[in-house]
Amino acid sequence: MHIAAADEARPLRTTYLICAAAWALPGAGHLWLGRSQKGLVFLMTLPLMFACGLWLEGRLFPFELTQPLVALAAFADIGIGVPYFVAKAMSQGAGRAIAPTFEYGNAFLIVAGLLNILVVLDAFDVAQGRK
Amino acid sequence: MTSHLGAMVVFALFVSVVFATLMRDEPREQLRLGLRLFGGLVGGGIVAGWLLYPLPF
Repeated sequence: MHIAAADEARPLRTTYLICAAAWALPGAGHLWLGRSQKGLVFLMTLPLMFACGLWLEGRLFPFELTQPLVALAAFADIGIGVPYFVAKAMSQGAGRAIAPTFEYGNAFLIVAGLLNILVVLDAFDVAQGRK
Repeated sequence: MTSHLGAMVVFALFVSVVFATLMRDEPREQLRLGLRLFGGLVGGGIVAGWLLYPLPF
């Protein structure tokens, strides 16, 4: 399978657009940059991990700045991009604290968002010709 | 799914797939790193579980 070598640096405006796409739809940045194998893996894996978190009755935390840990979890949740808003629109992610899998669900949701942020940073590096 | 081990294995699978894809470019290297990460996460989780088992809290 062809893996692209380090590309030339793209203009900063384009790089930011790529990062926005990578955040909104996991893997979109790598697909845009021609790294289709990586992009497809992220596109399949991260939304699936997020969906598993919802299925395990995890909670999409609210932005409560008075509770710093809750706010940090909310920032991590939103790292997954559009799937977060889709879940919110479908009234998913209320969480059920007495469910045996509640904490696992939270871990899936939070880590899916954080992993997507790492994917965005990787797309930034690729777009800047660093990888 | 209410199995703690099952949830941990699925979690380890997702994390190792994403990290291996992110950190390596060649598919063969991705597979090797992914397997090592997966084994480390699952094995480490089981070992930590046994070490913590005697604790009363």
